[in-house]
Amino acid sequence: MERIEKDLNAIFILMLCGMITGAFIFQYVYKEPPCPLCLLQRMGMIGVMCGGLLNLRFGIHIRHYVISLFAAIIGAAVSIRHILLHIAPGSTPFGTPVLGLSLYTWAFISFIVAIVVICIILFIDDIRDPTLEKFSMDYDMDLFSHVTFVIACLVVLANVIYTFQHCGIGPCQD
Amino acid sequence: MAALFLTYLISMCLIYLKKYKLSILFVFISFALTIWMLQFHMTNKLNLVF
Repeated sequence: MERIEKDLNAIFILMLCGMITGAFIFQYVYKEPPCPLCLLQRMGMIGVMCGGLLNLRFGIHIRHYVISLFAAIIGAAVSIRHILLHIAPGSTPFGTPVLGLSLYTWAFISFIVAIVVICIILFIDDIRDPTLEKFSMDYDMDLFSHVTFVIACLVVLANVIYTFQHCGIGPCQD
Repeated sequence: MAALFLTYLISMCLIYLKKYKLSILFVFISFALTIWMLQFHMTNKLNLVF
């Protein structure tokens, strides 16, 4: 059961990497560079990934899910801010819509789904066996976890390089 | 912004290197900086001064 949970964590991390990679496609293929709020939403997704990576490296623990939950809440707050900026009458949506919704709306949906899923996992985990100790500093990762780590780090590194090229170290201009 | 992404990357590297407490510290530093950046963007947009 724990193996399945770890694999699901890895799959979730890869899905988030896929979303950020999709945003890169919009950057380079559709020539739509990200705004500062878009970058903050990416950071929210990376924060959610950090909780999953902690689960992969040190074993499943409630603390790691709480970190993901916190990051998802921050990401959802940024997404709501972005949505509110563009839904006022007379304002135009930002960027090319995907299936009728803007990317920041999809980001908000994904953060809410992450929050709900994490809450369900925390609830089920407690029912299943609250005394089961799965956390360990000597946890061994399998190949799938190692590959997930590498892909996640590459996605974040790509964001570092792109943001440094366009904005430098400081805040990006709107 | 790049510095913010860098803090997340450092957190992930620390997780991989099994530096548990340091990685969690860096994750929370990243969160704090993200919230600060959001606040910075909001006050900039609204031209508010705190």
